[in-house]
Amino acid sequence: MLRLLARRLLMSVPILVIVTFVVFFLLEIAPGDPARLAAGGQAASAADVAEARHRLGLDEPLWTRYWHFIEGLFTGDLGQSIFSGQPVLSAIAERAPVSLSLMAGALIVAMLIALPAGIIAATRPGGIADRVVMLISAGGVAMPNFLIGLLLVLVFALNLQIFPATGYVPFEQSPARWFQSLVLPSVALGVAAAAEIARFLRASMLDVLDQDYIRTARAKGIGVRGVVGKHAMKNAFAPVLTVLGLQVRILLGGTVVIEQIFNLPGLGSLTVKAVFDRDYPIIQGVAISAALVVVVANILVDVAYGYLNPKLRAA
Amino acid sequence: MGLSKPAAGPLLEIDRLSVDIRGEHGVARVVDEVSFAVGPRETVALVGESGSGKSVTSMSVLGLLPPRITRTRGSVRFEGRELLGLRSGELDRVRGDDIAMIFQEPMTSLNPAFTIGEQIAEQVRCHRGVSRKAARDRAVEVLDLVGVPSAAERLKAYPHEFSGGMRQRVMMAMALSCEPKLLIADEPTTALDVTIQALVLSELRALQERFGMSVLFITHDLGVVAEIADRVVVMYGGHLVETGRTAEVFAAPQHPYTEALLRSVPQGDTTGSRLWSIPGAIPTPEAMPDGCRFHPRCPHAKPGVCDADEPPLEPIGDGRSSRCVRREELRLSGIGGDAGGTGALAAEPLGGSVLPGGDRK
Repeated sequence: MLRLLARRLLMSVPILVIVTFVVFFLLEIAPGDPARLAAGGQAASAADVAEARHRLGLDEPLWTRYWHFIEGLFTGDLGQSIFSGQPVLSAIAERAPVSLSLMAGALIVAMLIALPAGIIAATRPGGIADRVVMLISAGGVAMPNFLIGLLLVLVFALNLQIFPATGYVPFEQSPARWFQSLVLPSVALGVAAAAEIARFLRASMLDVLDQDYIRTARAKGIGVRGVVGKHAMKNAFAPVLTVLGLQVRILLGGTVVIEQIFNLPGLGSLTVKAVFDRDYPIIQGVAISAALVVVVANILVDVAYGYLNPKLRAA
Repeated sequence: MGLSKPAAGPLLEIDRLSVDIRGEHGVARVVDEVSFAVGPRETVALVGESGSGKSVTSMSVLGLLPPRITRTRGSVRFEGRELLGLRSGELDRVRGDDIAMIFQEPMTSLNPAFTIGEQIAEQVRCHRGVSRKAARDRAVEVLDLVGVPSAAERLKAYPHEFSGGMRQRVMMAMALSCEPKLLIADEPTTALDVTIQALVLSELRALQERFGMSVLFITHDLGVVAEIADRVVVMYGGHLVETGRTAEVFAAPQHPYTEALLRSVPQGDTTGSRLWSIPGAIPTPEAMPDGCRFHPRCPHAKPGVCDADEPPLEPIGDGRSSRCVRREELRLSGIGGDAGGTGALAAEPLGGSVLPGGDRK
């Protein structure tokens, strides 16, 4: 198990190197001149632009700047926002808890819905419960999350007034209100993932329930919970994990939209602002953090995979 | 149904058991009014080709058929208690405790995601309500018993770390862990090498004597039957065609299908000679022939007799029964004895020349 973990950690190094490379050079070839923007836009004089370019270090050769960028990554210095002058790292650290809470909430919502739905559907395929689950999940996959978000706000915030429509309350300030502020966004973000996971779990479960070892488990008299919840679940969940890993990436992208709708001060809204401002250091920082989140999520998935499938542990 | 009841009363009594399975082509009756019993400490072999309904019969005892597509009728009594129609929760108290089962596919019958120690121990914990430690000790004990070397260390091993023969031993250990009164073994040796097969069989016999349990052994291999069974129940096309004590059935079969099965067993030196097999294939439940279900493949089939009415299973004394209308005219040949003689074979040679629909001379 430790070897599996070590190997996965090692494998993620080249991935992260490639990410830094892509992030840096993509922004380099993107249209727009950050120096001109920093100097005040179209109206700025050539001298002002040149001055800004020098101040931002943009007049140095490309490779030197890439090297500084990498150096900065290791020393925790991701530069400063071109506009606010705030260090990128502190801007991200400030916003990350919001986005991570939202993603965690969405994953929890997704699992809370998908696990029972997938299992119930699989244990009685073709039954009413199965059909209802499949129908709703088809809708859940098809419906865009901003639409779900707006509907949720309409019903639960404006009509029923159970949850706040927008805004975020830090956990340190009030755990209860922190929770309340995250419920609707988490549901809006998690529903599509729930539908996807439920469908995968159902298919995987159906396949597993047909296996010989399930018949053995039934013949042992350990009860339905032992057969489905233990014997079938541990095997059926492995393929679902892969989907879960993919969902992390999709959820990360989803936070951008959901944070806009619910006015949450997370990484998503930070990114949107930075893109409009051509605030390169911020965009780079967010992109690297996002890559890190995805890489870490994939390592967790692989380790969990090893737990579920003993054959992989030795490999 | 003319079955001899063992003195102490049967442990397992299957009475007019029918199983319908809903498939793509509608409902098919795969087991049709099957009745037989297994007495205490008795080994009964349920014999037939693939598709004869023997596995379905054995699975319905523990209610292991998928309930959504199967319908079971008749009666399955264990120690006088009806098992059919029991709720799953009630059946779970019998499963793995009073009646244990081992299956044909040792490679796939163990859960790949759990250690074998856990798979044995959970059953013990469930039925005996003992501590984890005690259940683990019991697992070591039974693994030792079935001949898994260094059992204590192997508890933490996963099924994929075992060979096929060893996995079948693990299955046996699991089945024996709660000292069942009846063991149902569904072709437990079919997937194994011949040498391992013999080992597992002798192991099984030794364990049976030690625990005094009854065994319902499902197989298509008559060689195995001769080795372990007290009585034989022969199935064809979903119903019984012959029952009786093993030695008697082997020496003088009372149904052409039994004779044909016996003839398919290679005996002694068969070098150079072609192995004989029953011509044709077992009928599917959707296309069951009229009259005797075996008549299209039967070398003794007589037009107008065998293809007319379905013959009943008739008791013929001494705990035997047969479902052949020509039983008295035919003198079928067996093996290992001369009670039946070999006249029939000489008069009506079995062979591949039989046309579907019977021998219409």
